Amino acid sequence: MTFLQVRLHPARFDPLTSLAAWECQGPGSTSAAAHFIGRVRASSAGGQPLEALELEHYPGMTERQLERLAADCAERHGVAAVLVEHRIGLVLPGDAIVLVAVAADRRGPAQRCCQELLEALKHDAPFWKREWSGGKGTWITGNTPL
Amino acid sequence: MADPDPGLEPRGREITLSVKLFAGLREQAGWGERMVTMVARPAATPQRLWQILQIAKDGVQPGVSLPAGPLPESVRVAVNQSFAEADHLLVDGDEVAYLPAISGG
Repeated sequence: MTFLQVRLHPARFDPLTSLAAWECQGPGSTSAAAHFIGRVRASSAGGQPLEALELEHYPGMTERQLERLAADCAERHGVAAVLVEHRIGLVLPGDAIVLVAVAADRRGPAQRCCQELLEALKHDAPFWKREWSGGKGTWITGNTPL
Repeated sequence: MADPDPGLEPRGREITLSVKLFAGLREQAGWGERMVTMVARPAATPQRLWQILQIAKDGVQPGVSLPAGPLPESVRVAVNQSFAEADHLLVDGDEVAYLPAISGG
């Protein structure tokens, strides 16, 4: 049985603290783990200094969709534990937006599941980003290249 | 296939839906959530509801600034908080959300 943990943070969170807690609770005796931490860039898509990134979500559906995506991905790769933490609200440059961690018996499933889940949540979990730059907000309509 | 609403007048019964818009769509429309009543015949679908939102005139013209025409390909639909197709059959009490291009992670 896979240990799944999904959490939305309305305020700044420290991904390394989250990882430390998860290491104690989730993966058990697995021998491989893959981690990804995404942080807010310092500049907007247009190259201007970024003041903040606003993350809107669909309360209820976003949490359920993250759980579905994590469970499906975990099953496909046969991993032991998955952690997804995601910011909502106003996020400052340098702050963490997303943390994905996967524990498995081998590095292959752990790394593949981590990357696949990250891509899935970028496209199939209802989040919307608005860049704030020069006092003006602009909705982002796509994702950055892989 | 049997008529699902035998005995009802030809116009069909009305269903009431909770409609949600997010991010740029919400700002275009000027509202994020409202209850909408529509006739269930012909089929009540998110595609048809989208057209109704564009022409609704209940005093505040709720959807006049939504993109005109059929549902844009960039807009996804969720019914009761699960992704659904634009031709999904809606029933009374459904929550229908129109989701602009997603950008998570």
